[in-house]
Amino acid sequence: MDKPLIRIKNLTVDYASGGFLKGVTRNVRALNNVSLDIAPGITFGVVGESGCGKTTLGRALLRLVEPTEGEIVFDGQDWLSMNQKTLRGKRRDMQIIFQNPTSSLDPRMKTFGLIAEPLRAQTDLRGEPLKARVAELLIMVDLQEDQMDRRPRELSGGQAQRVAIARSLALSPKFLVLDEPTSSLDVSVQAQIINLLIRLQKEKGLTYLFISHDLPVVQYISQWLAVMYLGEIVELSPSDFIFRNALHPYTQALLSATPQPVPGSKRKRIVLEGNVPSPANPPSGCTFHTRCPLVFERCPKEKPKLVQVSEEHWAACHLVGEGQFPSS
Amino acid sequence: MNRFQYILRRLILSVIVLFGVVTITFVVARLIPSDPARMMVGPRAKAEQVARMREEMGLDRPLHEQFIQYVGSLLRFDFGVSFSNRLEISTQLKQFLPATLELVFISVFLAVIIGIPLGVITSARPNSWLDQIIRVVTISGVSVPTFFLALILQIIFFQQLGWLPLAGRLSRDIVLYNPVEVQTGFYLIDTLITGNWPAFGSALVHVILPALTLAVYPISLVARVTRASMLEVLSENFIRSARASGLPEWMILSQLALKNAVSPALTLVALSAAYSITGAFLVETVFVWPGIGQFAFTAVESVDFPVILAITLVVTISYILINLLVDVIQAMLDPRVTLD
Amino acid sequence: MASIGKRWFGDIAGKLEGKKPLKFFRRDPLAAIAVLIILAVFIGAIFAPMIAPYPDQGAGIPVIANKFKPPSREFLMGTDYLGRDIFSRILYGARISLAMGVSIVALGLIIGLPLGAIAGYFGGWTDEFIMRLTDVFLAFPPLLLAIAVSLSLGRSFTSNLIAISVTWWPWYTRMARPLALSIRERQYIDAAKSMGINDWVIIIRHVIPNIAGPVLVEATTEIGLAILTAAGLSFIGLGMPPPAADWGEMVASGRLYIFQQWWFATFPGLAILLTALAFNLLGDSVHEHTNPYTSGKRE
Repeated sequence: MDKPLIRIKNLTVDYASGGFLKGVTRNVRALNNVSLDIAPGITFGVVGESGCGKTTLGRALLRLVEPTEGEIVFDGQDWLSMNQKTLRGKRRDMQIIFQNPTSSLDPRMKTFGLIAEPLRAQTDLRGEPLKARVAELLIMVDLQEDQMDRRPRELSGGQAQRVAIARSLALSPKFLVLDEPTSSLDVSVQAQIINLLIRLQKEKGLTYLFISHDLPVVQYISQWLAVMYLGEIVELSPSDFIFRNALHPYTQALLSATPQPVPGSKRKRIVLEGNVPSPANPPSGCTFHTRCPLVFERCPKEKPKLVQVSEEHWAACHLVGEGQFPSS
Repeated sequence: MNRFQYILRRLILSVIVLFGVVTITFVVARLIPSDPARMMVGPRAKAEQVARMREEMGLDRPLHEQFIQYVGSLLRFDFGVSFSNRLEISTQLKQFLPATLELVFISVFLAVIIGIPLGVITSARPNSWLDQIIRVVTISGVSVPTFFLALILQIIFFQQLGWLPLAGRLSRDIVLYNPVEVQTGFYLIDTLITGNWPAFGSALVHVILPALTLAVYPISLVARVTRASMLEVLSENFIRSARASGLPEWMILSQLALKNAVSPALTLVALSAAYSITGAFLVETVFVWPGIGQFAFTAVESVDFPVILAITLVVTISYILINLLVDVIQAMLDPRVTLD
Repeated sequence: MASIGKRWFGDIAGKLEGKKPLKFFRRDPLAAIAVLIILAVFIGAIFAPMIAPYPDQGAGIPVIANKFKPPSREFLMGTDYLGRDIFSRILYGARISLAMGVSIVALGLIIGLPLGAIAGYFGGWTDEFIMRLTDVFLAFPPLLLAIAVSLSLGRSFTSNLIAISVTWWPWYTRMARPLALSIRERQYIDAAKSMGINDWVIIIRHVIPNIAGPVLVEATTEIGLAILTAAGLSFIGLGMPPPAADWGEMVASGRLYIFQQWWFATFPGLAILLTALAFNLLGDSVHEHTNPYTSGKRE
């Protein structure tokens, strides 16, 4: 793809646990050598179970955690090499929405203050023009102006998330990381928020990175989909394509567990054995081999690379590399 | 981290703190507006005498050199010389220390044997009428200005009732006719050892009021803290299961709950020692008890900086050592301690 | 800045509001009495010139002719060695004691709370350094360091305030630090960072307001102790110089005449006792109510 909005290359994030006074320092590799490109204007979805590194990906993009290795090119600029001062100004272009709206909003602030905060920090707007802009943003997310005086605990989950969205749009960003934005909301509200996000994307020409463990939701909203396991991308392709053409056993298992909108379509339920290994102690070779129903001798010995299977499809599995396509 | 790592780190911490304390006393010493050299030679000295004294005291050298000199003399237990009586401070400290320690020991002892049981009893039945009464008593105990209490007790027991003496450690008669052969400096012990019964009686009678006055705050504090920590332990689940299994209440209280409160008890000892030392200053002043507190008081009156600084330093260092000791003992007893 | 202040106090008021004041006092008569005493002391202090029967004596003008008069209808608490009405002096002294008590706690908070927030938020060497500093100041017995500092700075309200506050702030730092540590992980802090807000602004606008509550409450329960400490300092002779109507200093002066003119030292001493008692009772009630272990057991 030419001119991606974001180009991520070999992104690696390690967390060190333990510390100076506690003795042993252990390295947890939360993200391992992740590369992907995100075109402007699309929604790029990332799915996986908890611990797969998808949240770390989002946080690393925003530099809320500093990557250990790798490169990020955002809007043509070397994102990671920017010093804190330049970064601060550029942050306008990239924003994040968190999973739990009430914890992403300072419980002591009122709605007005919450939405006004980025404006106060990065613009010269004050007084009446500021109020007008906040009102404008509230309407944009389908809230009323009288919500301005409310505090987060007085808002419903859906309303709070709308406030978070309004806040993130205040500086007219180009790119939005959505980290499980609907996972803590009621199902009926989820749909409203998703549709709101889609509408805003069309109106403002936004690019989304949509992170979730909820496959149907991600499929609905995303054009592209990356499946992650233990810090690595195991499969990558357009989301409607991956439905019928999932190659990686993990993706197949995830898909088999999701309820299908078309009743009667045949799908064998693949149940994975065991629990997700701890990222502090990943299995050797292919990290999925301990749970994979199609495991063979090569898997624990050698780590499969993410290879391009077709024009718009990548997968990381030895079976794929051998030319054998495991059937679903 | 195991206990020995903990103890080691605790030691290092104490050294750092010690260094910080010494630095701060040095800084405070330099804050003094008046010229120490002049104060040493007296107001009628000539300029050259002052200059010579400055040189002798090392005041003309740069600050970091002064600091090194300061630390050096501290390590030799040399606290300098008092402005008012030109005597060495360290000898005077040694002279006055036992009297204060006598009071502090009695006070800590009373705090533990009265305060802890009080705390335990009131925690057994919170918000009962007994608890409320003791609550008022203990809160009053921590609200009374120590010096005021001392005065009131003097009025009651000396002036009105005539039961106890006004001040000092011994009556004048004893000092003249039955003097104490000082061995430890603790008159109560010395008189017992040497069989000096009249002196013992006098010492005992003189120590009652100061010690009691001093003990009031620590007793009340210990009672309150014990009550709070007992309540915390009693509400824990393992107590509930003990109750549910039918263990008698007294057993629960004494064996299970108290055992868990022992470690805090050590902290309480340190705490009551700390407050007793501070309170001793006020108590000794009122009862003219010849201890460090009284020494400090006269130093304040005569604006004798070296003495005040020396006392501050000595007492603080004792604090640090006491706390270090308590922490180490706790670490040896309880394997679950952490650094914070 | 004002909005931050409004936010903090509004929150505390909200916390107390939730407790329904009148019900609170019926259940805890001691606390009610304590509040009444505190109110009385405040009113006495604020309106001293109007309430005091002899305001100029209260401020310090001697009337030698009235030396050492015992308590009577004319002089409610008698007169002191300079013939001044002690009741008036006590009212004026209330100003000093209250101002001292509140200022010490306030100054301790102003220094200690932000330091604790900074230590908890930044972690690492900043945290280590601040906590070691805290340890050093905590190592000093409060009265002693105050004596040493006061001696150097001279006898004045400010010098006493600084001398005692210097030993007061570490408690608040110790309290604030773990609170800040837990706040640091909250998502709204991440959100603020992602908006490009710098760390110091985050500390002021997000961390401190969210941790101030419990620390503030704890601080107010310590006003009694602050008053006692200040009185102790005055008693030793380091308080405000005469003719200031300092309660501790009055007790010290009155001590010399304690057996004949007992009223001279007794009334100021009682004043200190009652005021400290009231604050401590109130503080204790607040503790009982906010303590999960005891408040559940009431009734």
